[in-house]
Amino acid sequence: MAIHFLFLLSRQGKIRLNKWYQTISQKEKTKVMRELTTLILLRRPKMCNVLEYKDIKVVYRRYASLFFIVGCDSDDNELLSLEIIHRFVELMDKMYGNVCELDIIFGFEKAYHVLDELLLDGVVQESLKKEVLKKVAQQDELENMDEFENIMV
Amino acid sequence: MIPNHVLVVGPPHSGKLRIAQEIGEELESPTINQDSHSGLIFRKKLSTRYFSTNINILVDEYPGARADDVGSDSAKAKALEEWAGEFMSDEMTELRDALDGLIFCLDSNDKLEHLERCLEILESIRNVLTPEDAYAWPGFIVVVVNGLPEEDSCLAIEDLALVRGLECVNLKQSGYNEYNERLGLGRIKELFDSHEWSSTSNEVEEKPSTSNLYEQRKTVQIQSMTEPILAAEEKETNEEQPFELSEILQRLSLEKEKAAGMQNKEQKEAYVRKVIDEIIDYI
Repeated sequence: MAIHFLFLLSRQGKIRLNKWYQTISQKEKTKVMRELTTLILLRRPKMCNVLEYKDIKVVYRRYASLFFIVGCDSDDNELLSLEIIHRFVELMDKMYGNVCELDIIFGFEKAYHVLDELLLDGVVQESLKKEVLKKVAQQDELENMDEFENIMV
Repeated sequence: MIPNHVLVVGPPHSGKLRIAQEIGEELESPTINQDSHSGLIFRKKLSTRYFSTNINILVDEYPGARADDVGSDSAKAKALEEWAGEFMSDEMTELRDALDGLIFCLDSNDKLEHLERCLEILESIRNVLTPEDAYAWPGFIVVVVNGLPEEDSCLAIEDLALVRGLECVNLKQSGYNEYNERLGLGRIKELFDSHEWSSTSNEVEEKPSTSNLYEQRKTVQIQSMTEPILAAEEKETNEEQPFELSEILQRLSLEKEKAAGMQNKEQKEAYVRKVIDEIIDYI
């Protein structure tokens, strides 16, 4: 189960967060995101959450005003992708406390932190919510200590 | 702070003013012209936990002047085309550049063919705003309908907007749908909150936290503890007993009688000086 990319899209077609687990050029990434934006925003709410795109499978799920979009191998289990998306949302919800689009826009570094602890090279590295949040909190603490030391110097 | 601008445009009775009044706080002109709502500006100070900003909601209407008979669909379409032509002209480049959002209101009572034509025109406006990519414009575009959600026309408009990649909001709806998406005016408010405005300030009105309040209270207590007690007493005495000339005169006559009874000249002089000093201090 390897995820190729994950990105968050608003209903207005704005990319709020994107993470790539394959090495392709920025131009290619922009092209993929633009094409998927057009494809997904045109889909009605009750349509299937899985679609085929080139040689991969795209799985998406809408949460309030955001679409969480994941690209995975065509032989991967799409239900697992949906579960990963949901786990990511749950983690962010715990981290921010009732997460909303605005939290992700202005506190994007936290969202990336959570994602980095959840997925490594497109594969789930830690499924336990408590553990992910603990590690993110530890990193935050380290960062705060660094800032504090800089101030003291 | 430079204000951001959002344009609300639509035909008469399509809900423009309702949106502007619900979202905006203050109308720039004191009266609303009944002939046309064009040119109305509502101001809003938007404050979230991350930023604060000023927004001007500009209302525009087509046709320019209202008539009792709103006219046929072709007349309405012509009015919209005229408006769109003007909006897309080179003279309006500055206005287009200044806009952060476009709210396009539609009258759901209109015929579907006319509404489809309206959306086509809106699509051409979007292409002018972002010639290279439909979603590259940093602003937002919303189509607003004001009709019962079950009506065929509303569903049709939503479908037509969706296939063009436009977000459609129905003003008659409220609350949340099954996907936890906000509906109606709530969604427009959410859009305002979550939009990346071109001009924002990071200064947010902070509510004093419990620890801050505790510190403030303690500081006030410490300040009162460090004030000199004597000075405070004197101040209170002065405030409670204002300067009375009759009392001084009374005391002077008493002291005079006392001094008159004294035999020793030096003692008498010293006593008089002491009394004078006391009275001067008192004054």
